[in-house]
Parts: sequence; C-alpha cells; structure tokens
Amino acid sequence: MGKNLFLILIVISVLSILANSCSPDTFVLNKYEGDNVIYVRMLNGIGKTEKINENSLEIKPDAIVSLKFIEETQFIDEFNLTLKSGNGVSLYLYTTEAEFGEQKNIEVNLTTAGYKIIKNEEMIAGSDSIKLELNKNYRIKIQQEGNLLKFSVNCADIIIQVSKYVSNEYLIFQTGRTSEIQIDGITKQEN
Amino acid sequence: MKVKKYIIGISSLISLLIFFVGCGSITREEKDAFTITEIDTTFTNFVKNSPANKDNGTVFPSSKEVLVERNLTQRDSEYTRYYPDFIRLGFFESIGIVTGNTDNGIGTGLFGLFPMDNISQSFRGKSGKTFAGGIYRLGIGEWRLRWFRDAPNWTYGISLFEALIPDAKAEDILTAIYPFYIRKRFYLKETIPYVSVTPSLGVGLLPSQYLNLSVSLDGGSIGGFNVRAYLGFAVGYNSKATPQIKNNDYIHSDKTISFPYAGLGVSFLDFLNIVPETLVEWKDYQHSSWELGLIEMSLLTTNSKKSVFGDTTNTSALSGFDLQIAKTNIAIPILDNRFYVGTSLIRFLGLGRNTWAMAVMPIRVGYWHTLVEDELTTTPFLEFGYYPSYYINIGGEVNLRISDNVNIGLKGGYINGDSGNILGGSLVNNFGIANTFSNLYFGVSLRLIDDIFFEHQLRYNRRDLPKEPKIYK
Repeated sequence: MGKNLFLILIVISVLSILANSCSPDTFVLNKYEGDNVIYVRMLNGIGKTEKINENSLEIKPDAIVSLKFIEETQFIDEFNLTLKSGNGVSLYLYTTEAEFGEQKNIEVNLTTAGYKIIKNEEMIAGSDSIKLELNKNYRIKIQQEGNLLKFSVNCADIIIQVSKYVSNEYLIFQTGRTSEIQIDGITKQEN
Repeated sequence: MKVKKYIIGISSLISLLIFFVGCGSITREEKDAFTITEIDTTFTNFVKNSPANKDNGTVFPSSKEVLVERNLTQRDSEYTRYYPDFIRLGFFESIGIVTGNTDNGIGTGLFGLFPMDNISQSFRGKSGKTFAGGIYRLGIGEWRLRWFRDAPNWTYGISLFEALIPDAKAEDILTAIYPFYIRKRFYLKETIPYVSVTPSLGVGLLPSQYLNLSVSLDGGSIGGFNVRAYLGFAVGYNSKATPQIKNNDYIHSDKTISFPYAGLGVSFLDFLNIVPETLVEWKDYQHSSWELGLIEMSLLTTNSKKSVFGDTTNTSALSGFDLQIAKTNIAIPILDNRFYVGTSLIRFLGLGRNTWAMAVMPIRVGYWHTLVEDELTTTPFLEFGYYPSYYINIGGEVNLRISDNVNIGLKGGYINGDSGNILGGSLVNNFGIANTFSNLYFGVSLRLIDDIFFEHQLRYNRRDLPKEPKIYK
C-alpha cells in the first residue's frame, strides 16, 4: 500500500509539471474579465515575454509577441507602455500570427528618436517630437473604425486611412535587440 | 478492494488530466476573425424636365440633379486552420524480446507477432525459443513535452494498454492501462522515413506497477509502418490482486519481476511527426501511401466445396470471408508513383470449410490506378503470405470512397496455398482442418477507418512539399 501510494504521488507530481509544460509559449490576460480575454503568444521562442499580472506583461529584448483580442476586429484598445531599456518597439496591425512574416501592413515604430507609421513598407507619417523616453509611462490608444485607424500617444492623435486592408484580432509587438517594454492597464472596448 | 478503487480513480484522473488540459489533442485549430470594410460611392442622375418650355441660366438652373451616396459595408469572416497536434499516434506496436530466459519461451517469434502454438492458461512456455517474450502496446499517443526551456524532441505519452512479457509464465507478465512514458528522440535522419535514437522511461500503475527503461533505434514512420530495435530493463511488481496472480495455476503470492531485454519491433498505423510537421496545416501533410486502413471486412463467394459458415455443401453464394487488420499500401516513388508495396498486421481468409489461410505481415505488391478522381480506384495486386499459412494470392480490387474514413469495394482473385498445421485448436474446430487449397474468390468489402488517397494528395506528386513551417527569428 505504501509503495503504491508513493508511486502514485510521484506520477501525479510529474503529470502536474507536464500539464504546465504543454504550451509554454502562450498565456492569457484578463482571464476572469468575461469578454475581455487576450491571448498572448510568443512567436519567436519561449521566455521572451512574462506575465506580470492578469493585466500586464513585460516584453523582453528581441521578441515577437502577438496579442489576440478574441473575435474583436474593430476594437478600441488602450494600454500603458513603458520603455524599460533599449531604444524602441514596433507595433503591427492588420496582420496575423500566420501572415506576419509576409505581410506587415501597418507598422507603428515608436522609438526614443520619434515615431514613424509605415504602411506597406512606405512611411506615411512620422515625427521626432512624439518619442519615447526611458521609464516614462505613455498611454497608447488604437482605434479601428471602418477604413480609419486612429493612433494616439498620450494626447497626440494620428489618423490614417487604411482602405483595402482587412482588420483582424491581432496586435503584434516586436522589440529590438536591447529593448524591453512593459505593457499594463490594457482595456478593450468594442467599437 | 479499496486500494484497487483508489488506483483506478488515480489512473482515470491521469488520463483525463492529459486530455483535458488540452495537451493531448490530435488536431489543433487556429481560428482568425477578420472584418472587411468596403466603401462605395454611388452617383444617381435625375433630370426632371417640366412639361413646358423653360429657359435655363442663372435664374432658371438646370433640371439635372445628382444624388451622391456613400456606403460603408463591413463584412465579418472567419478562417480556421487545422494542424496535426501530436508527435506520435499509433494503433499497435509489437516487439519480440530476448530476455535470457531460455526455458519458458512464449514463441511469438521475431517482432513478437507470430501466433503461439499453445494459448492455454496453463502454458508455461517452451525451451529453445530465441525470442522468449514480447512487448505489446495498443493505442499509442505522444505529445510534445516543452520542458527544460523548450528543449527539442522531448515527448510524453500514454498507451491504452501495454504488456511486458518476459516469458510465458503468467506471474512474470507486467501489464498496465495508460502507462505513462517520457521519451527523447535524437534524430539521425530528419526526412521521411525518420531515423532516431530514442531513450525512454515508462511507468505502469495498474494492474501491475512497473518501471520500464529503454533505448531504441527507430525507423519510420512511412505509411504508418515502423521498425524498431530495443535495449531495455524493466522492473515491476504483481500484487495478489492482479489477474496474472489471481488466475494463476502455479503461484498465488505477489511477485517482484525484473528483466533486461533486447528486441526487434514493428508497429502499424503508427504515425510519427517531427515538430515542424505539427506547424504545417493538415492540408499540406505528407502522405506516402495510397491506402491506410484499420479494418477491412469482405464477404466472399468461392469455389470451395463447403461454406465456411456451416459444415454443409456449398450451395449458397456466400461461402467465405476475408478480414484484414491494419492494412497499409505504401507508394513506391518510381514509374509515376503508382506501384506500391503493402502489408497488414493480420489477414484471415476463410474461403470455405477446410480452406482457410492466416497471415501475419503478408507482403503485397500492386499497381494503383484512379478511375474517377476522389471517388473510384482500382488495384491489381500480388500477395505472398508466409506464416503461419503459406499462400500466393493474385487479385484485384475496385474501391469506392464513401467518406474520408469509410470505403466499399469489390474484390476478386485466385489464391493457392497451405493453411499450415501449427495453429490447430479452435481454428480447426471453427474452420476445418489445415489443408492445401486452390480457390477462386469474388466478394464485396467494407472498410472502416480506411483512407484512400489520390494523386494530388501523395507527397511525391506535390512539388511544394514539405512545407516549411513558419518560424520567426
């Protein structure tokens, strides 16, 4: 009896570890927030993103991370972005996890030198006055409305037309080789 | 009794845990939602002329009116991709093992597959058997184990049932439902058929409790067929409650068993994926076979004197049957890929009373031809059965695909051979004496869990395969 129990306990312990080892490249944010669930997936290897709490994550250097807002294709998404180290981050919209390598339709490049919005590999907007500073908190708002995309950094709004692009559930982050960012306070509203 | 219930509960919990945490699926679905926005502007021209003459100009403007309407239409759509989500999924594996016991050999031969000549409960084996025992697994599944920071090619898995049989003595047999295994594969060849060295550690809980440590050289899979060479060591315990002790005519006390082993094994309908294959959609999966099937049942009319269904003169059209388990026909990549080589785990042909044949792993060669794309195929073949019955079978089939997993067909042929006198027992009681035979046959077949593939599905006909999985750097 003692021997059996010992064996069973070992196996249960091992299986509990395994249950947590089956998909280490994904986690869920806002799990208990009803329709506000966000699936986070590390696209280029595990360990490049850490969940801080139910509503915050830290994206480490050299990471490609997708946030999937389940079945929300016309969302208003707001979050705080803090650059912890390095010189910036790129956000990709109108592309999916599966298409990311082939289509980077809208890229918002936020760096310590300014911002650039690149549409289909062509720069359509940019400024060196709206820029990130290390360890400073920025409120980012992304609003998709029909063929318009409204992008806000704190109080600065940038509106661009995105006709002919198909909107989807994804927001993809890519950090540089030394950049590390923290995202928290993610709120999502239906448009 | 309480302990037994407890162990059953724990085993069930473990199996449920594996499947319901989402780690143990066969197909992974990825669903993306999209919204397509279309903006359209329509111009409508109206000219409302008054019935009387009217001067146009600054005071009298044109009667033409233009109505401009801007429409914004949004359409939602969804796209679902399906990916294989397992590293290994197998129906049956059999290994013939050498354990050092030369007195109580079970006698199932190379690969542990060939029928024993004595299946009574009191059988204690025979001396002089090289392969004294066997290891058998039914319903095998393995999934990716992403531990040690996603170290490559680790898997965990279970079987529905496993038996480690070092010799013919029942008290030495270790059996388990849902034995749990951890494996690590070191690939020597990463193209189909894969070759790998695979160390593994297995734990069985019920009814025996055991550990099985082994390393194997694996070849496969191709068409679900694999060959493996094993070295291992098993240690376990059979309590008095195990069926091996409870129903034993010789021993009634619990027993601890340990044995080293070396063995050769084969497995059927046993599919192995490397990790990149699990990142490519099912529609781009690499198929090497023309046909893969679990069960094929046929009713035959033959020219035998008596029907297999009764010891009477054969007056009915129904005189025999044909049963095949785990059939595979693997395409040979020459001459338009239409020639194939195939085998089955077991084939039993009851052509009539005193006219029957049984073959384990018969060898089949044939030619595959599609008559109607995605529906109707035909195949002439030559099959050679060598043990326990010996026969040569020349035949042909016409197969109609009913669904992805069900097919029906017509078959006919000529078979010549000898039943073999090594089986005896209930087979002779049911089907008559072992005899030489020479028969024509014709019949209808039903194939369940049977996939027939067509030209466009075969990997040799698809230049775009293997698809590279999307891996971001």
